[in-house]
Amino acid sequence: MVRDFDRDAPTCRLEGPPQARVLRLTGRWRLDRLAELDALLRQAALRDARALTIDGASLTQIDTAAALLIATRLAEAGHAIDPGALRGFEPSHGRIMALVLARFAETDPAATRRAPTNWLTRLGERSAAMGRLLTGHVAFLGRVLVDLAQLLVRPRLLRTNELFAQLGQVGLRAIPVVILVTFLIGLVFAYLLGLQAEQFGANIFVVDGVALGMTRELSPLLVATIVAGRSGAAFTAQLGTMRLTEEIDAIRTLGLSPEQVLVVPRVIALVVALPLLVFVGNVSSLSGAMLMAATTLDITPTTFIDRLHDTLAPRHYLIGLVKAPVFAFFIAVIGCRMGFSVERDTRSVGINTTSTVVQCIVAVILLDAFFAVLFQELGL
Amino acid sequence: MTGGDAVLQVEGLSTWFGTHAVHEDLSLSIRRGELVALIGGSGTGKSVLLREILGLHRPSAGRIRLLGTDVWAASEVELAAMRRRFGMMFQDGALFSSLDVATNVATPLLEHADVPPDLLPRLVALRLSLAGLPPDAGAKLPSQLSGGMRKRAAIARALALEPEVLFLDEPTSGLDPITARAFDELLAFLNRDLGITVLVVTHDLDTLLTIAGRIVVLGDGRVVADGSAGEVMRVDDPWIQSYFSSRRTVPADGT
Repeated sequence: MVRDFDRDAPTCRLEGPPQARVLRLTGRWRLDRLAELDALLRQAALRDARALTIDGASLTQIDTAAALLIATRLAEAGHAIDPGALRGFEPSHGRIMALVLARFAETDPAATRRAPTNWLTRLGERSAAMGRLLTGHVAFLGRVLVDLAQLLVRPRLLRTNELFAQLGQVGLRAIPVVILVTFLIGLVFAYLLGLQAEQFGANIFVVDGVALGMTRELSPLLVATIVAGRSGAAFTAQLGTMRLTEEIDAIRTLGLSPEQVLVVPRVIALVVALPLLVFVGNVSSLSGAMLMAATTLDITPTTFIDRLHDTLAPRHYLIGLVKAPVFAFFIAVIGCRMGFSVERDTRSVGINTTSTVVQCIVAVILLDAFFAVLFQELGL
Repeated sequence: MTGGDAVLQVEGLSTWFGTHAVHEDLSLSIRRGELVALIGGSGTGKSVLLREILGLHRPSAGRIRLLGTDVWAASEVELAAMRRRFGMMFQDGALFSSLDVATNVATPLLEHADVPPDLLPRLVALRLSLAGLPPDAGAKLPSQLSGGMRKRAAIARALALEPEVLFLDEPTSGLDPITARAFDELLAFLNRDLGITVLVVTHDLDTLLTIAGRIVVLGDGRVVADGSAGEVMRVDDPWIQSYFSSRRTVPADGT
């Protein structure tokens, strides 16, 4: 009796007279040893054979992948793919072999290849997509403003539960990270200014610089960036998932406005929360600067606060606080709109969430630049 | 070896969720080459059983042997070898949404098989053809396909590594009757012509009556009926009787 091990070892040989060659296959021909089978077929020098028949009587196993490999190498060697060339196959093996040969033409890789696109086409497609995105934003902004105006006429439309839930989410829970980041930035900012001011013995001016820079520019910008990454992304992910599960369609079919139910509470919550977070950021960053001033610049906290009273005009931190609700409005609108424009697949949620964060941060910086020019012109 | 050429053996399986028993001493055996349908009311643990067989959910007690490997006692190496020998089609396809269909099908081949690079596109195209998809479907993203085509693409991926056993969770749910019947024919073809053992969880009566050689009914945590459609229909169980009578309310000749 032949051991299974020997019977299973795959071999392939060309036999018979040159006019009627026979490709004799033996052993186990399966996907897990495809590379080895490929080497066997290449050694068999199929190219030289004429009028080839395939004998599979001694095969112990064959699967479609191995059958496809045989068909491919035969076709490459210039042989016709013909089920009539099969001899002696066991019925189950013959069925698989015949099936693969019958479908061989469909497996031509050229049919599945994608048409290449050149950079000009891609540039055009990207630009058109960008245009659609921005016009979509403007249309959505319009809808949100209409819904907000509706609230003035019919205040009962406001979803107070959702509003307070969102206030907690985007406001209260953001406080720790805002405190941490602004405290450290205040610390570093005071240290850097101190390095310069010390050289001129002008330590006390560090207070002026930190107070002005932090309250007017850095704190609103930093806090808005944190909120864009935290809440803008969350809005997109929440609303995007709701779109995937058709919850937004359900809201619409119940005769409610998804903008009124989902978007308006988020917009109001963020517009209320962001100025408060900026105030927290102001206090925290000045505390960080005060700590650095006390430890390295010999400015006691009392001196620090006295100097703050003397030099920090209220208009500076008011300007910072005025910018915050505008940042918040744009972050909320972009976050919600990107959530609503998620397509019906999971990948789209990820893409849109990433896009939200980028768009929000760019929007915040553009708005900040706009404000800088505006206040410059106004002489504030 | 007991059970002859058994591909799957479930013995004394029990599953508890807290104090709620889903399976109690459930036993089941499937031989090579069978096409078995698994049915049962909601909450009878069909999907849980499937997840336990696949090694995704640990049963509370009992033993599951799939392709000669004890699923819950084998080493990682044995499990990895065993996983290459079966295919699974999840209910909604579970295709990787960031990859096109051809790459979805090629993924298991690239990870687990040593395919000559020039053969790979052909092999992927053959899998698509076996699953009944046109060649140009390969370049599409899953989101660009209809529900029926997504399920076919999922079958193509499940077939990638020449599985000996194919598991399917509700393959015809959410499909129109014409597409669903074409799907039944596909399963019968894979079972007959490629010799793949098929276990399909379904609620579709037409699937049961046209292609399933054997029907296993779950109820009260165990197998309440097991046999051909004719045999199962005669079992005196209230759920089975009302299940099959739901079809008799619409006469086949339309009168």
